[in-house]
Amino acid sequence: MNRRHLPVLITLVALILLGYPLALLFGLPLARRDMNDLRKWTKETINAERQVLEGELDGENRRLTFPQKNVVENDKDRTLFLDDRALSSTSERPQERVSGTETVFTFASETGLVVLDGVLLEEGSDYSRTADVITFTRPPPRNAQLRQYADYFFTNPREGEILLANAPPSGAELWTNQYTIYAEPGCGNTLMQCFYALPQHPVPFPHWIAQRVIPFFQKAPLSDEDNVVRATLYTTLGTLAALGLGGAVGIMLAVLFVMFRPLERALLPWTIASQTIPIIALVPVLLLVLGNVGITIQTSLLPTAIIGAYICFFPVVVSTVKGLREVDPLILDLMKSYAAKPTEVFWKVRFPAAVPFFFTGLKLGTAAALVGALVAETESNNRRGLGFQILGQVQAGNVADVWILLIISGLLGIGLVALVGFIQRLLAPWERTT
Amino acid sequence: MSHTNPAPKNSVIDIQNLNMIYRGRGAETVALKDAHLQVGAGEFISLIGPSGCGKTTLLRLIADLIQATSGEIIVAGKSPREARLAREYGYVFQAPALLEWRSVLKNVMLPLEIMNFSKDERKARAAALLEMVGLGDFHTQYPWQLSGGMQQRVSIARALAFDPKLMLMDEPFGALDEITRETMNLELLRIWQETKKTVVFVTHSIPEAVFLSTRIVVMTPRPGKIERIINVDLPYPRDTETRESQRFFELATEVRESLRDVH
Repeated sequence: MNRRHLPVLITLVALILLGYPLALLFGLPLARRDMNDLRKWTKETINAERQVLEGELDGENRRLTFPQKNVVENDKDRTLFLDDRALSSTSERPQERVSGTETVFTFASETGLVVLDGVLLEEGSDYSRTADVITFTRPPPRNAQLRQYADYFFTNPREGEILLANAPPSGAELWTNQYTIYAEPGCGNTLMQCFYALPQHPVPFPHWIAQRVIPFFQKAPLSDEDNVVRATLYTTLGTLAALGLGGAVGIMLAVLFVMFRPLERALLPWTIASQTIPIIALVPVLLLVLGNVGITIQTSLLPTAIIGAYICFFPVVVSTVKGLREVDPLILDLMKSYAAKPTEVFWKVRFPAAVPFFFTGLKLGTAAALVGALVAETESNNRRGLGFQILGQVQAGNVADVWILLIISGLLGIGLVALVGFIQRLLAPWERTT
Repeated sequence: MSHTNPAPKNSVIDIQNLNMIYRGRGAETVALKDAHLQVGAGEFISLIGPSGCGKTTLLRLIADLIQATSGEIIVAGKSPREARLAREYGYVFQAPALLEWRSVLKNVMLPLEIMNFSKDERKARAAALLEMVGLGDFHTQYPWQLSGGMQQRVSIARALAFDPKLMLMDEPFGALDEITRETMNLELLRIWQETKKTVVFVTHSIPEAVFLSTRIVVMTPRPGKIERIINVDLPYPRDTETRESQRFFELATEVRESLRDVH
């Protein structure tokens, strides 16, 4: 830890602090949605002796409102009376199926309000009625919900407004003695209360993530496959195997390409093309093929290694070829002055000179190899590795756990690149790289 | 072009009617035109001139790093190619051109590996030469740990490692500061007198050419050619006092005027 690391640390702190406004940015709209979602409000039953609905009863008016707003629509306990008669709040289905081509429907009662998919339809323009048969001007779409409300229908439950099928005569009274309303938001009275009540936060507060770390690591014992440390170890080993395999293949291919130009001309386009196939498509195929031979991720590192190597070998090839070719021309002249054989020039000069370039290419491929390993681990009958963990927590909806796993993956990526850099400094301590 | 000295009898390098023409797109560049030169054994020849006068081209032609358009070169009694294959010369470049992944000792051993010296001999020779150039304590250091002057000394040691008759040096001290350069000049003279090699030395610097050489080949550009060959009659061993002598000044002036006339 020295002054060189200070900018990284400052950025790290800044990113963590950024988590707070981001958590609010993504969480508050969800909280607002919860607050406004009537279905999540607490219900209150209003028991009132003969509570009259507001609205004029003059023989023509059919629109009346409840004394309280936010009336619960589907309420079996609600009773509405017109004078002495109890009104039914239920609806009936037609005899015919809504096939999408059918326009004629028969109901049990001869009067009522026709509602299609919750929307009240207008007699005359949307349909015409002949006793218990209604005929639509346009056939309702297939499997649409078609109902007839015999007595009344809620045109606006928020405002407590209903529409009666028939206008009551003047002097009549429409009253209720029990109905239920949505009283209060279920999550809380303020937006922040609802925010804290969210079951899942898309971006949790950083300190919540921090609090979750220790329980998360302890959720399975070290001996269990499910343990996070073991999963991380597995993914690390898989990626290292991928780097080793990809590096080896990359070097061999680069050497062949430089030694035999026709080979390069023949294979290079295909090498490039191979990288354009997305790994998500390739992984299942590869796992299937290997699975048929008995090699699965569950039992060996090989599938992960192959998949990761597939991705990271390309930058290795490109960088190493460049390193093999871009040798100081003076040194090549020097070797010429020694009458050195081409193989001597290759192994004494070109190959060592290419080592830093090789490592640059390997570093470039490291992050991609890690992603490849994670993708491989999310597929098929696998229970090992960080990829499996991430998928599991995402499916279970444990957002904080997902974040912890993402942070672990990120740290793993940084660590692996640093490791490659460290090995580079061991094997190729001189300055000149790319 | 005038010779102030007749051709020596046992010439290591014999150049006759040498021409080098580069053919670009449409345009032709005459890098070297009708060069005649003979270098005797044990001589120290400087090629001096401004950019484009053909001095580096001439050196590279001798080394068979490029091939002449026309004319004849004989190096140690062979064609340039045969001489190169027989490893008759050691070449020192403008930059040290050391292999960064090898230690100083192993860098000096590079030509010996290629020329199939035995392991013991490689080590012995490399150590001896590093000692000669004053880097005996630096065997295990790496090039990036050395200063420019020290790196160039390693390059010289390397060129001497396989004991070639001929040394071809292309502005080896060009990248160094004046003070270091003068020190290196003394060093080079000492090594030359110890090893008695024939040296062809390309330089930009008039004092350097006068200080080091037995003869100076003054070259001029457009087209590149040998303008004059000046005999340097300063006695050896030469030191800092030589630089301050009257004769030194006169010779330097002679060189300078030869260069100036043609511009």
